[in-house]
Parts: sequence; C-alpha cells; structure tokens
Amino acid sequence: MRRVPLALVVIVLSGCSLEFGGGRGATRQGRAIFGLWQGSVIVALLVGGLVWGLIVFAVLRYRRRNDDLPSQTQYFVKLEILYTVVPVIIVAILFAFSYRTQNDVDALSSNPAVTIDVKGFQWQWQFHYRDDDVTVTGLPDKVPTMVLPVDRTVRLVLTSPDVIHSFYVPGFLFKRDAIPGVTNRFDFDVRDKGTYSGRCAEFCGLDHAKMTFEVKAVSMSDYRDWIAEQQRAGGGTP
Amino acid sequence: MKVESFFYLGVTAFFVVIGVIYWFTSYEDAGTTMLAASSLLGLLAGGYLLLQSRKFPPRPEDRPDATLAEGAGAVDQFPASTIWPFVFAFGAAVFATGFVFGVWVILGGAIVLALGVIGLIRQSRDASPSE
Amino acid sequence: MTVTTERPGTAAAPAPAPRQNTGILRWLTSTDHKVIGLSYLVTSFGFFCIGGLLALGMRTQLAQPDQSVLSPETYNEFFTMHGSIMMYLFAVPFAFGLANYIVPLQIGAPDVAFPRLNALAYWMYLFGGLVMISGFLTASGAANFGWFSYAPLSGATYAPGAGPDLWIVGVTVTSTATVLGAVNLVTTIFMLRAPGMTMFRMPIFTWNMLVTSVMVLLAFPVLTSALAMLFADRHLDAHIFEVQKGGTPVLWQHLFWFFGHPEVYIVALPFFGVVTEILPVFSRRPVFGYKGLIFATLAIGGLSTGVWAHHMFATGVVLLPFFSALSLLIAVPTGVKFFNWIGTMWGGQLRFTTPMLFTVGFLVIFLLGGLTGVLQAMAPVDFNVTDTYFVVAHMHYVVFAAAGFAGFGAIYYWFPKFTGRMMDERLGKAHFWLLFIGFNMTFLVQHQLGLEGMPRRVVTYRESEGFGSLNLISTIGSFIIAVSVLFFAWNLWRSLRHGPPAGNDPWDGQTLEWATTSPPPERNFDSLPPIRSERPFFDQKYGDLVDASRKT
Repeated sequence: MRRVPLALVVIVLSGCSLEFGGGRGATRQGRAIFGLWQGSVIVALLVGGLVWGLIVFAVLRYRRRNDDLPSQTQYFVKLEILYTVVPVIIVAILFAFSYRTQNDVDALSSNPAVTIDVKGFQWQWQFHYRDDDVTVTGLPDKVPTMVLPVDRTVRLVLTSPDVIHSFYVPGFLFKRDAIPGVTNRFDFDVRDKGTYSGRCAEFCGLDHAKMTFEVKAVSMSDYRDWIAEQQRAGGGTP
Repeated sequence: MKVESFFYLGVTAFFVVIGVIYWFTSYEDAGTTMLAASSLLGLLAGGYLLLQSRKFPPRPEDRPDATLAEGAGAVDQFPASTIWPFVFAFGAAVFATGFVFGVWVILGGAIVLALGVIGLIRQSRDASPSE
Repeated sequence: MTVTTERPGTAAAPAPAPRQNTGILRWLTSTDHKVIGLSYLVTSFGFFCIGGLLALGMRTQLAQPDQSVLSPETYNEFFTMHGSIMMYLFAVPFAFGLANYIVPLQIGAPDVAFPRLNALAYWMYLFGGLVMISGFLTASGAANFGWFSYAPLSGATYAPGAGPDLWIVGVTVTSTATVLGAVNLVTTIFMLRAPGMTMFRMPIFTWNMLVTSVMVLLAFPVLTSALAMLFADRHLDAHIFEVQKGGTPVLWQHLFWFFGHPEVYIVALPFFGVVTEILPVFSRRPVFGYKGLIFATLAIGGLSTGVWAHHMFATGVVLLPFFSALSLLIAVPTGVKFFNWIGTMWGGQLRFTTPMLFTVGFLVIFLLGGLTGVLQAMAPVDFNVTDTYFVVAHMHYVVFAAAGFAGFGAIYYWFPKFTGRMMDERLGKAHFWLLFIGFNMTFLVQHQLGLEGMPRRVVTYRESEGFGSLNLISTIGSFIIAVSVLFFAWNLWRSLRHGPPAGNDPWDGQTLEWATTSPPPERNFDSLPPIRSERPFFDQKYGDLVDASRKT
C-alpha cells in the first residue's frame, strides 16, 4: 500500500513529461508511433477538455432556479453543421498523420542486416538467426533472449505452428500476431541500447501469461561476439 | 410506408458503396461477401416495403395530420396467454444441447420442439379460421 | 383464448378482459409485452450479477503479483464467461427488455406486432443462456478461450470437451432469440404506430431501438453462421479454420468481428436512446437537434458495420487505411450526439434526480471511452495498445457507461411506470456516487497498466513487472462497484414494497408512456393525447405556454 501514492505520482509525472503513460519507443519505428501518440493524445485532451467543460458548465449554470418553463429552442442548424464539419476535419488530419506513420512503421527494408525467424508456440518462443544459423529456444523456466545490434535494420519473420500468439515488446510500442498459416514480416531499427521485456499478447491457452521473452540491444561488436559464442556452444538449428 | 422502405433501401445503398470501395481497395473475400449480403438484406426488405407502399394510400400513422379517431377500432387479434412459446423455446434449447450430448437428446428436443410448433400453428388457426 | 386489441377512441366499450392465469403460470404463458419486458430486465440483471461475481474473482486473483487464488484453468474460464455473459446475456437483453416495455407505449401501440414470438424469444434467451453457462457444471469446465473464441484456440485440438460445445450451442440459441426480438421490434415500429405518429415524430429511444434492431438483423446471423462453422470444425472435420487441414484462422476473425463490432454499438445505441429520453425531461427542454440525432444514429449504425477489422490491426493481414479511416469517422456522429445532448441541457432548468445523475455520469464517462477509441482507431497507436489493459479500460469506459450508468438511469427513470411506485432518492444517490467512484478507481488505472505493457487475459504477473500497485487499486475499485450494486438491489426491494405511489407522470414527462397509468392497463392506453410533434404529452400539458415562450 505504500506504493500507491508513488503510483499516483508516477501517473501524474508521466503525464507532465508528455509521455502519457508508456515509454518513448526505443526503435525508429517506435519513436514514430510515439510521435503520433503524443500528438493525438494532446488533441484528445483538448477536445475532451472542451466537452467536459461544456458539460460541467451546463450542470452548474443551469440548475433549476424556479418552476418557469425555460427556452424551448429545438435546433440551431448552423451550429449543428459546424460541430459536424469541424470533427470531420480533425479526424481527417489525424488520419493523414496515422497513414504516414503506418507506412513508416510497416515499411520493409530491402536489405536488413539481421533476419530472425520467430516462432511463437504454446507456450514459449524460438528465435532462429538465419544468416548465422543460431537458435535460441525458450523453456518453461528459462526466458529466451533475442540479442540485436543497435542502429541496424533487423527483420523479424513471425509465424506459429499451433494457435495465434502475439509478439509484443512494450518498449518498442509494437506488437504483431503470430498466426498459423500466415507469415508476418516487420523491421526494427533499435536506437537505444538496453534490455526490453517481451510478452505474448494474444491469449493462447493455459500458460499464456508465462510466454515472456527479452530483447537485448547491444553494439554491433557485442552482437557479433554473442553470435560467435552461440555458435561455439552449438546453438544451431535443432 | 415510404419512409420505412427508404430506411431499408438506404441500408442497401450504404452497403453497395462501402462494399465496392472495400473490394477495390483490399480484394478481401470474406468482408466483401458479408457487405454484399448485407446490401441484399436491405434490398429484400426495402424493395418489398416500397412495392407494398404503392398499393395503398398513406396510413393514419404516416400522415402528420391524422386524428386518433381514424385509427380507432380493432387493431388485431392475438392470444392473451399461451404455453406454446415456452414449450418451443425449451424444445429448441434441448434440441441444440443434443448436438453436444448425443442423438437421443436431439430426438427428445425435436419432439418437444415439434409439439411447440404444432401448438402455435393450431392456436393461430383457431384464432382466425378464415386464414 | 384470444384477445381483440382495440385502439381507444371507439364509441363502443371494449369487450371485458378474459380470465387471466395467476402466479407462475401467468409468467410462463404471458404474451403481454410489459410482462415479457420485465422478465428480460430481471433475468438480465441476474446474469449481470453472475458476470460481476466472475469479475470480482478475476480482480481478486490479479490484486497482487504471483497469486494463485484462481488456477490458470479456472481463470481462463472466468474471463471467457465474464465477457460472454455480459455481452450476450446482460447488455443486449437488458436493452431489449427496456425496448419491449417502452417502445409500444412510446408509439401508442397496444402491444408488439407478434406477442407470441415475443414470449418465444424471451424463453429462448433464458434457456440458451442457461445452456451457455452450464459448461461450468461439466467435468472439463466451461469455455476457456475468451469471449471472441478465436480459432484455432477454440477448435477441437486446443479446446476439447463439452464446455466449449455447450457455449457454442448456447450462444447460437440465445443469438437466434435476439434476432427474433429484433424482427418483432422492427415490425412493431413500422406497423403499429398510433395515428399521427409519423416516423419523424417517434421518440429517439424508439428510433435508436429501430436502428439497433436492423443492426441485429445484419450482425447476429453472421455470428450464428460462424458458430455453426466452428461446431462443424470441431465435430465434423470441416477444415474451415484449422490450418493443418487447409483452413484459415483469420477467417474466424473476419466473421466474428463483422458481428462483434456492430454488437458493441447494438449495446450502446439503446442506451444513447435512454439518455436522450432522460435529459429533456430533467432539463424541461425539448430534445435539441432531433433530426440531427436521428441522422447521427443512422450514421453510427451504418459505419459500425464497416469497421470490423480494427480489432485485427495487429494481425498484419487487413487493409489498415480503410478500417482506420472509417473508425475515425465514426467519432463524428458520436460527437454530434454529445453536442446535441449538451444542447438539450443548455438553458434548461436541470433537476438532479437519480436518473439525471446517472445520465450525466454516462456523459462524463463515455466521453473518455470515446476519446480512447479515437486514439486506437489509428493503426500505429493500436499496434502498441491492442490486446493490453488499455483496451480493457477503453471498452469498459464505453460499455459500462452505456449499459451500466445509462442502464441504471433507465431503471430509476422507468421503475415508477413499471410498478406505480417511486424508488428511494437517497439510496439512489448513494448508489450513483459509489458506482462513479468505484468504476473510475477500477478502470482509470487500467489505461496506465496497458501503456506499461500489461497484456490482456493474463492469470498473473511477476513482481518485477511493477504492475502490483495499480492492480491493487483496480481491485479495490471493483469491490466498491459491488457494494454500490447492493445499494441498488436494496433500493429495488424496498421500493417494490414501500415506495410512495408514483401516479401517471411523476417526472413531468414528454412522451406517450407518461400519458397512461403506472403500470399501464392491459391495452396500454384508455385514451391518447393528439400526436402532433415528437413530444405529444408535453404538448398536451404545455402547448399554450410553449407558443408564448418560443424563441427561435
């Protein structure tokens, strides 16, 4: 219970730093998503502030004073048209930014530096580094770590042999489903070194909550060292 | 009756427009099929209502200046109390549950369901023997 | 025995009513829309309580990290059945219960178009619902794959057992009942209106129920078809959704969400209608922008059928711009409604009775849910927040605002009409404030949990993830909600027995249901006011005054 006030402070402060809840996104794609998020939350707060303000104003200002029948105005066409057209303009602008960001995030490079086949299965993950034939497989009591080089384009090729899972890295502000019969491809360009937790985000049965993994972004040389170490330890295709 | 028919025909028009846009932007089969079928639903109901609306003058409830006296008198006849809907529903539920537990349950449910259907039909016939 | 229903206004006296059944037999055999409407309301409230208890179980399990109050097996059944019960057995039947009772009164009709079908639909709903939850009584337990039952998880390989099958079959029966109810309502509205009650004079609640019913006709058959396909996959080796045999899991999602998205607007629109009934009465003003509200409802109904794949943005296989654009667009008519509601209050003489409190509460809460919906309509934002507690927060803000806050408002508003007695205002206000506080405590923090990365449908989380404090707050809030419901139940019980007499028109209403006794007689009306506007009863009472004070 001591941590409750701390939690409230965290919420307020994260609002003040204009992060509005999550992180700023550790990949190039995540940062693009964050920019869209930040802008649209500001728009939402402005619109919300206006409408909540109108509600509160009406509730306070128009409390019943006497038993007189108030004005029975039933329409005001110009105003109604205004508050139909202005929201259309607002959402059109939001759509334009969203469309641009979506193309940026979903863009596939023609030449990724690293390609990893990711398999989500009940109830863990397997990462197979194609170029170097290194495989990392999660176990029920051993969370797998996906090591990536920063500032390089990493291609993930995602599928599942059983039910639908979802590859979710909150620090990257991104998830994509692993669907049997479907091969999903997407790129990360990690900008910030660090370790990021990963989770399964599509309910997949009994141990859905245990399907966690880690993503570790390191310098290119550390990455190559790690690959070499994996190969020495015999971490090839099972 | 015209307003009602336009309501459904509006549904038709909406789904035709959306369906065409969706098909030519996505070439996705399932969604397009559902949008197309939805437009047919609107056409069926709306077309029928439009045809019907041409057969008689506006009803009292279609005219803004109608008086209550115009609609006075018998509206329709319905049974005031009846066990058959309950029987039908119970039979339907048992029938459906039979698909989980086996053919004998399906059979039992079908019998009760049939009783319910027969009960309802006989009741309608008793109420309006001319039909 | 048959009854010839008469419209008032004839010179001849109506025939004496035939002898009625009493007690349980009366309930089992009634075809009176008022009895059936109340049956829907009471039964759906019962299911609400069951669904609520499941939620309390879930919240208890999640209050702290690494708990095993509920095993993963049980937890998965709990959240599946919580969602299924709330969506299939509470929200929509509750709305249809209100519609059943109120729509015929509002249009000046003696009953619905097909009274026996009406009874049939209610009993099918009840029995289908019981079949659906009977999975809990089986050896392998109830359905455990989430209320949207995604393939392949819901297939025979990954979800064997009778529980899932009972769920499929039960939902099919109950959904068929909903379709039958919708057929009845549309026919009633098209065919049984009183003279002078043109379509554009019907109350907005009735309009909303009309649009809702057509949406039911469009959406529910897709669900029942999909469920039949799922059943075929499970038991007849149909290979529709199973990849190993040539099927397509994503097809399930298209089918389900083509139903599922209109479904949530089927839940919301009736309660938008309720709000549009309550606001004018307790502001002593007419509905502002009546035609605008109708067109907004039509727009919402239409657009809601075109946005289904915004639930599938993370699959990577849907046309993102199409669904994103339409999802953003649906904010516009919803915004129009909000401004029209505010316009209804503007310049009025507001009375903060319990129904009005719940309605203003709806406005405050739904607004936040609507805004977070707009955020998620943008696909890249959704890549982050979908399938996390952010969505759980969003959905509860919109659905609970509608079926919860506006739903309770509807009960407080129409209880006098149903029973002839008033509910207690002090208990009502206590209910409101407890619910408002408890609800926000439960769900506001869940936005943050989602943004911090807590996924949906997880039985527990580790200490190191840092979700503990917010989850604890959320759990405490959920118990406050439960306490508020107890206040409501106590109020209902007491008021049924000892509530002061209400009379025909306790609230100074505007629409026709207030122009008859509380409760109405069997044929609903012994006399009707002349119908010359969308508020005929108001005109009858204040027509002369309005002409004098008209400004625009």
